[in-house]
Amino acid sequence: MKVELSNDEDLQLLWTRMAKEKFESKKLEKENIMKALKQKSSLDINKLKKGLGIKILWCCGFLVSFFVLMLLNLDKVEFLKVMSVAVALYVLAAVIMYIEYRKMDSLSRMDDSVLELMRHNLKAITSALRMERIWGFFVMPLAVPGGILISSTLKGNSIMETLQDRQQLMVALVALIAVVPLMGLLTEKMNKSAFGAQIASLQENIIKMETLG
Amino acid sequence: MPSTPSNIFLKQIGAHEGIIHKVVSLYTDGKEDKEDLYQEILLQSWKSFANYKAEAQFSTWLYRVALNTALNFRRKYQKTEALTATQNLSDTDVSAGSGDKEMLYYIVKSLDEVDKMLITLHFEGYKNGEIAAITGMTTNYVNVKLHRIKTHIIHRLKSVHNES
Repeated sequence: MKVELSNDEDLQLLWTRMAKEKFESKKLEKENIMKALKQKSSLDINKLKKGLGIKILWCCGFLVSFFVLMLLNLDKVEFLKVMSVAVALYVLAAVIMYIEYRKMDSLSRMDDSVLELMRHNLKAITSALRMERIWGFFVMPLAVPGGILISSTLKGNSIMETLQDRQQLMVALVALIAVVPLMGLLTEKMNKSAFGAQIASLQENIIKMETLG
Repeated sequence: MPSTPSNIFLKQIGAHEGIIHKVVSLYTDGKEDKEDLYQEILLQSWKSFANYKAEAQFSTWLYRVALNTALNFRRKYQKTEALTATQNLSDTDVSAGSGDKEMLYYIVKSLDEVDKMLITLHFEGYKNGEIAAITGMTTNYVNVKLHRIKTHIIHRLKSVHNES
């Protein structure tokens, strides 16, 4: 049969023949299917989710060690005050990250419409990267002076004494001015190289599906 | 064979695996990417299988999962195979039946991700309303876009015929 290239039905017929020849003859082995079902997902959203999960675990680990330290130093009131603030901040960080973690649960959404899932994934990826930024720019700067305060109060110094110690202040300042922005910049660069292309591709596809241009 | 969820899943996948081969072939280049996407589609299908409602067509559901996975999958290789192939095919004897089929395949493969998805579903016999439901686009947009894609494909096929 001669195929007229201007006819939609003929194009469909051509496609059907091509698909039959090219794809219907291939067979997936049962063992390969079973093997695939046991693999870990390589989708970006799942990698980010795993990364966020690890951060939550780190937070929980820190909280446990904070509590142990507090229990061992119940007599040091100044130290307990500093640690209470640290505990509150870590609890807050863990809760916020857990909320994001739950939001990223895209696995049950794979049978949503394509546009809906892409919007959801784009939102989840940018949100997870925002979390990374918050972690880099807020938690790290708090961790440096926090660490100095904790070690100083643990030695029996008061909070005021620690804050008036020039040497301690210099260490905290150097860390805040040099190390923290550098780490933030590195995180930003790594995230851009790891997820920049994927974000751009999702954005491009969403625009294509939402507009006729 | 007992009708456990995994057995039902395997049976359904076996009956519709052409869909997975099609999506993988159209959306990836390079052996490694193809293998990774196969595995990812199978994994995501299995994980979403609990949500599958028996009254819906399995093929439509599988297309949705496969396309969603392909469009959110990160490729290691750049799209070069399709472009090279269309160029090479223009030099071969496309008047033969297999030439037209191959050419159509490579033209579709060289389309952007969204257009590729729309025309594949159209060629697979889905109505524009169904394509709109699968993709999340409006039926009007699907109508317009499909018309443009088909015009583009016909133009490409004709220009190759004229060159040969």
